[in-house]
Amino acid sequence: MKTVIMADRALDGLGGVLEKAALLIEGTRILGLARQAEMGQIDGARVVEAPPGATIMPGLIDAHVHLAYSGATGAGRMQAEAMDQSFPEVALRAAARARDSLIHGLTALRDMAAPGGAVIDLAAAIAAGDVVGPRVVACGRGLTVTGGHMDRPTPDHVAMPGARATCDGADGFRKGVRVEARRGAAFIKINSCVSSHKRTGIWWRPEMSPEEIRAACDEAHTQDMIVAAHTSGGPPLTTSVENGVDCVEHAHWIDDDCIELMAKRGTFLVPTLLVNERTFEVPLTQQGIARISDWSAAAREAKWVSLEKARGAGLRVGAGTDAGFMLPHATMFWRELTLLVDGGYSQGEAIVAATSVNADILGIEAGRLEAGRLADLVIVTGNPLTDLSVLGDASRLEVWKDGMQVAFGGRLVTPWPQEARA
Amino acid sequence: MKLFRADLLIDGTGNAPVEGGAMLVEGDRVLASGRAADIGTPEGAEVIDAPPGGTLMPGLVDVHVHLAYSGAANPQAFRAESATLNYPAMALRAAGYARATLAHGFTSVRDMHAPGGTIIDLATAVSEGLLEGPRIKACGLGLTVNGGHMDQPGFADHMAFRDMNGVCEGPVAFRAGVRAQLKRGADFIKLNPCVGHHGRDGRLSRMEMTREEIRAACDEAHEQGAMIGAHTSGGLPLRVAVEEGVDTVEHGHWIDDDTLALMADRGTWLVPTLAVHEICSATTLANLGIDEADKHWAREADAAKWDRLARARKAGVRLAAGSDAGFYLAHGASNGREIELFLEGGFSALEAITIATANGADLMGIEAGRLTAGRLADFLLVDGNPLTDLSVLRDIGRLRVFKSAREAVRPAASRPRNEKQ
Repeated sequence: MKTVIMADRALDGLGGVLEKAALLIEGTRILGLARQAEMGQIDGARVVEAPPGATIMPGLIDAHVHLAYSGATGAGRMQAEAMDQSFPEVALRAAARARDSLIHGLTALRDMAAPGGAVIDLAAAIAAGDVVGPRVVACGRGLTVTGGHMDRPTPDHVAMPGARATCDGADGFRKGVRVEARRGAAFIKINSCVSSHKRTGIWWRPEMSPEEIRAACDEAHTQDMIVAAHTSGGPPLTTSVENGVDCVEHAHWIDDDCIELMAKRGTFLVPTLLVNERTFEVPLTQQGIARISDWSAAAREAKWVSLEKARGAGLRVGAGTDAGFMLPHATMFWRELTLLVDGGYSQGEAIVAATSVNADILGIEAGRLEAGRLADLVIVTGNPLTDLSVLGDASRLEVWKDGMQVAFGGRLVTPWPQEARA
Repeated sequence: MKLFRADLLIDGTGNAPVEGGAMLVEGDRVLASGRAADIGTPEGAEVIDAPPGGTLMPGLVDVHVHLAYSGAANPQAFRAESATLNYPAMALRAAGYARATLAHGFTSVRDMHAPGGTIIDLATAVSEGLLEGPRIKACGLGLTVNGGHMDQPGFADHMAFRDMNGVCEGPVAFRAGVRAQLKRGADFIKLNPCVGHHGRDGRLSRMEMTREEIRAACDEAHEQGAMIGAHTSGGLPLRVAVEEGVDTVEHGHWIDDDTLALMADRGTWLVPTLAVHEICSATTLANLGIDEADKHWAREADAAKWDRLARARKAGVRLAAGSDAGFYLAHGASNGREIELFLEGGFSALEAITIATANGADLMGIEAGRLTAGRLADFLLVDGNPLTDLSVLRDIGRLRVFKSAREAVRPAASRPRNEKQ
């Protein structure tokens, strides 16, 4: 059956704005977007009128989340969650966070590392209709060197089978990619370049060798997966891009030659602005730290400079919060968009980042209101082009996924996935 | 405060139903129930009426399910699922089954074995309100001897499994097994002391655990305040299980009068799992490829089960309804068959409902199952009268399901069209 959704305004996800718009969908897909006057009468189509003043746009996408973690702050909280929760429990808690994200307008999420394949299984369970949630694109575990960013020290007597993917050497990383791919990963996460907290003034250091990065990227590309890399910046970031990384995360310090290289190669940037700012807004006592590190203070300033350069060079910049780490799921995504605006982007450009650019990062056929795309939509009462905060108010949101209304006014239409799919 | 009214009130106590009934609910508890005329309408109470001819009754309780399994009616499915599904995936699939179970009117279930702590974790997620489902009490892994009922045989030599079976040998190991499951978060312990004997000499049951093993497991569980449920077939090994302290006897096709008297005396529960037996037996007898010894066992169990039930009733043994859904039976749609089969076993519809509500809640140790003051407000508004036609309880379109006074969302297809959700 065909459905026409009429709204005072449509944002097509590519920067286009249409007043008095009509979106035609059939089944799970979009058939077309036009002015209401041009759409005319569609025989047999159900007509849905959005509220006066409402905007229809592609569903929001968060390109950097950790569904396995709650986002609670405090000394050792993340490690406690990692050590106290069995993988089935992790998956069930992740299911609730994913559902809440959907209610808040997020129709797709990219999960950037979870223990034990828990979020790979969640992605499959949502697709199979066991539970209601957004599309989830998951990497499984993040590949990391021994003692690396995702292999934080644990006591000598602690073993955590299945929780981590520690690799060393080119062959080790190649195998690491194969193991996550076998488990069902949709893309590969590596930790190639990290911050250096040990020496003031050194804000980055390589964690993986160029050969390791190249091996991981080659194997992932051979298996048609893209590679995303946790990075801090500087020359080791350039090395990551040179050796095949497709999407760089965080990247507070980006050298000019790296900007040029990323532009040439079409490398994505997900600057995760909010998680960096959270270090400065969550009270220190709540974080369980005595003072903010020099690195955090330097990164806070550097990220604006890098973002300005990225914008100038026309890099494809996505929007990712790092929800699950320092911030909760679902409720704060809109703030990443306001931070992009603080960094020089227009509201419309921030929405492009959160929709079409992110859809391309995730490799899903969503993120644009154009013929053939998946009908993953948000109808928001208000105009996000003048006030992005309307996207953070679930009571203003109506959420569609696969051509079906799935959430309305802050709650699910139905917890029955088979209905949402029907 | 909310006031629920219906033409018929079945309060779960086994007392005669009340015509023109009402129940007051405050928070998650029942404040009062009885004749609508006596209860009146307190000022400010929200009034919710069942449809004309409708019934207000406690939520149903299924004390024997396996949420980790799909219920595919295929002897191989159970094994294949164990060997191919990751535990997080198993837990997420079970979340869907739990939602379906609740929508079909079952506000509490007892899970009788699941790999990897999956249903213990699901029970936690539901009780924290993260996911919708019935109250769940879970045992974690069922404890079993090497090669026993829950140490699934037939896998090849090179197959190794982690946290899939609770295999124990000897009294000390069973004690350790009990401790391990309770540490993982189990609410009670499942044992496999006595199994059906399908081969060789034609015996219908045999000991799987020794008396000493059963005693050790029971002692440890009771010491920690946990009940023991036992998979049983019947005969002498069942008697030994009861003597050594098992609290609930599952299946139990053959039980002699002496043992029934002992069960009545000790307050041991019988969960006859009629629904799974019906389908298992029919499948076995209809399948040409199945061994004659299995068919012999099925025929003998068919012949014995009704007589056993009638004698248990006469002896005053406490009974509860457990379907074994997840094994040959789909979750949600099938659980209610167990209640109908009590009717076939000679019980009245009211007795069958009491067995499937108050008795189940008592067995599980939860403050539900009766719509009396102070109890948890787990209840159903039924479009119809189950006392004249029990099958209305299996029609999801006729049920509004409330757990802790909160209504579970039904599939839209089963909602009357004019109802706004």
